[in-house]
Amino acid sequence: MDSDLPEHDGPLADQKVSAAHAAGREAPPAALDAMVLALARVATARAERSRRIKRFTGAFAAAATLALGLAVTMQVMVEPTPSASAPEAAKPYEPIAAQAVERAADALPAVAAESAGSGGSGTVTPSALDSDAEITARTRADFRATVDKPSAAEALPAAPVVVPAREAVTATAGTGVAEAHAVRATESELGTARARQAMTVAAPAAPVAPVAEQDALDAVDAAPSAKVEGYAPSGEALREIGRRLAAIDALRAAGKDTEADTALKAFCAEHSGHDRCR
Amino acid sequence: MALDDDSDEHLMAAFQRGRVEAFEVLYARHRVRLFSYLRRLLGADRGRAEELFQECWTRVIDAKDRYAPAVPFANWLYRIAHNLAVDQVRRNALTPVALADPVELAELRASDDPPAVEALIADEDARRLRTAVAALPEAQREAFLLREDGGLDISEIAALTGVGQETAKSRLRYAIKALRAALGEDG
Repeated sequence: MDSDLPEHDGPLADQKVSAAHAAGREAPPAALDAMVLALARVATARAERSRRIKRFTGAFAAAATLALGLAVTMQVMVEPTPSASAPEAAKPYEPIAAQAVERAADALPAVAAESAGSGGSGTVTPSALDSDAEITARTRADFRATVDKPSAAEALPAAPVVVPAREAVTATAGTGVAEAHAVRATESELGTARARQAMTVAAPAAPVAPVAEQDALDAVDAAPSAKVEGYAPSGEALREIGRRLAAIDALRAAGKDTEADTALKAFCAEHSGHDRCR
Repeated sequence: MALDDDSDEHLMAAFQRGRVEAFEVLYARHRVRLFSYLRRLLGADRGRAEELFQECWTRVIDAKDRYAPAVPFANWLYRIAHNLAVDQVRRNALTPVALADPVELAELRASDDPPAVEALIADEDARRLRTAVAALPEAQREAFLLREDGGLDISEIAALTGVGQETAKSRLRYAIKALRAALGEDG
């Protein structure tokens, strides 16, 4: 502020000194402004992605908990009553299972699309990045197929509700955990044994999520690389690419075009398949 | 209410909620003062001031979620800048800013254009003051810059520099006296 010092400072105030000081102020260079504002935008975008993933993780955990609870409840209901068939006993819980599925499905698409588009696993098609709708439809279809099966016994364990969601995130992160669980779920048997399997599958959901989140975030930075056919770096290579491209962008934002060009040339010498090099 | 009318603290709160445009307003509001603060505190090395300026805002961005709106934003911002600058000053000797060329000044004063002369005299005052600020003892310079660029009051300057209020006030008083003398107002 250019005003005088507060009144109680009385003799410390000096208008001419303040005026001369204000007249001599210097503004930061435009490139520096651009750099700082770019940093703020990147940080905000990252925070938003993180929030979305956390929202999904929370909804997913709630759905998994509900599903697990349902599986346990049904196990308790089915086992002590040999006269009642599993499908009949499960019927009252189908709407609850469907609700859990909807909650997970509503939260999943944005994250699944983003994670899938990142190319983290190397198994997702490059076009996924530009096709949120496709991912959404496919994900919902996975869920609905589980719920819509005519046999309540099929809906009983709720494990299939969990597995596709975990696949969408953790398979993308390349952890291999989801695949292993999916196999175990597929090989499981119907009834009580399957319900127990469901619990096994659902239990480690939380510890896996942070891994998926970090990998997804890192991989998103390198997402353009997934768009080039036949060029599919993964893991640490993706993260390194993300870091190098961010550094090049920062140089560009700072107006250091010559340095940016040099850095890009060096990058392309190693990654000629990357779309930034075409 | 438009963001331009919001307080610094409200803008930071909005930035914490993900509104990057709030940060842009905040940045526009403080960029010149903060840059001048660092520039004058660090002496003639503009490059160092630029580096610290960027580092300071980077820390604001990174630590935004830890900012508590109860603390005036300017106080928080200048505390970050102060800490960065102190580290830098300890590592490097300050370099006084050069005085204006006397021949050039004589030519300027001989100009027939009164507004131009006034502007140039003001410019010369600013240059002279800049040199005088650079020549102040470090503690006085810091107190003066926190007051003039940071807009902090005595109690905030005292808290930020880790001294009592009377000490901060004395430093400011001595600084102003020296700067008045530099502007030819010694009395």
